[in-house]
Amino acid sequence: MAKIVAAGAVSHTALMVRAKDKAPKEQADNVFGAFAELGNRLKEKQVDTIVVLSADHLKTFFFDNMPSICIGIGETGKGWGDAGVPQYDVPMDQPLAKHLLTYGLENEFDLSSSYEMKLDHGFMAPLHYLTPQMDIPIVPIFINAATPPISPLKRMYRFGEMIAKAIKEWDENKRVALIATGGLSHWVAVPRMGEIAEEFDHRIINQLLQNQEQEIQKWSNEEIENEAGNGALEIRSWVAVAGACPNEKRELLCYEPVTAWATGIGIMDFMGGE
Amino acid sequence: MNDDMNAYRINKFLSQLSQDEEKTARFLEGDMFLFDNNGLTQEEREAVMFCQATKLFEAGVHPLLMMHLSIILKKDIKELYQKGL
Repeated sequence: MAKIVAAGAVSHTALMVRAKDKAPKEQADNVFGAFAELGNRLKEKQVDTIVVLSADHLKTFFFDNMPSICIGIGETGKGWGDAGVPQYDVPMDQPLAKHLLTYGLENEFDLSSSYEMKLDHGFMAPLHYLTPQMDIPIVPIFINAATPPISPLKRMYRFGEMIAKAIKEWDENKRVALIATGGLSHWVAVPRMGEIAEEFDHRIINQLLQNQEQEIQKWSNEEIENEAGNGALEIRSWVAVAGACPNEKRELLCYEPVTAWATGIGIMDFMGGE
Repeated sequence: MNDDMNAYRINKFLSQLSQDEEKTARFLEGDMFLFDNNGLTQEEREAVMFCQATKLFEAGVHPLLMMHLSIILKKDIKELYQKGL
């Protein structure tokens, strides 16, 4: 049977690639050092497949057809090459993608799927730093975090639980990692752009470190957006991964409020105690 | 809300720009046929061409698409908001 051997969450921002050098050196070193550390842990744990959960920035999906959750089930994940990220191709784990899709249907999640789901920087910027060789197959899962109506966090937590159950019941001898990307606080192209809500960021980090996501699930999308910005709605991918591994010892690899990137950058290992 | 500004129409136009480099190049060259093809009003065209962030935001244009527009036009969107443009 398959096993979840690693799980993590990382912030992403276009600026961490496009304006990499604009951040103060100490902050950049901490952030990229944490990416490298998490990437090394994926290697050490001999991960066969990475399930990547991310929002999209209206590059792949538009209002004419906007799923709440969509699983990429094609052979190759093609990057848009946006935000300064090279235009990568990354192999995809089709059998796992199709298993998750089917398992979801049988377990109260009517998921969308796409054979040609192109991947923007939400997926590719973190992979650019975690697995730059693009040599580990992925299952990309798009989670709508930008276009209302947006599902409540408790739904994302249940989704994470379902993903974990599906992987554990998958009849393949594979070592699977989960990586959430997005957040933390940031305002994108709205009047408060540039602000970072450090208090919010520390609150969610501390609650996750203490495995207290039951509290986080009570937050409404409106409250999150008001306090931490429209970009902070991306924390739903973190909550999904929390639902997938609720009892593991977690470790914060870095938190930096990077003003130059207009984003609170957090990187967490959700199975740091293994 | 400005009745002469249709958010969906502008969003669709900006989405097409973000997905198509050739259209982006034509937009930067001032190709008016792009606007014609999408049925943008004169007011909408001006708001897009000059990246009038405040006006687009108040009309309900999606911030992520405005972000893309500001990158294409090399505008600082934060500064535009601060100036009320």
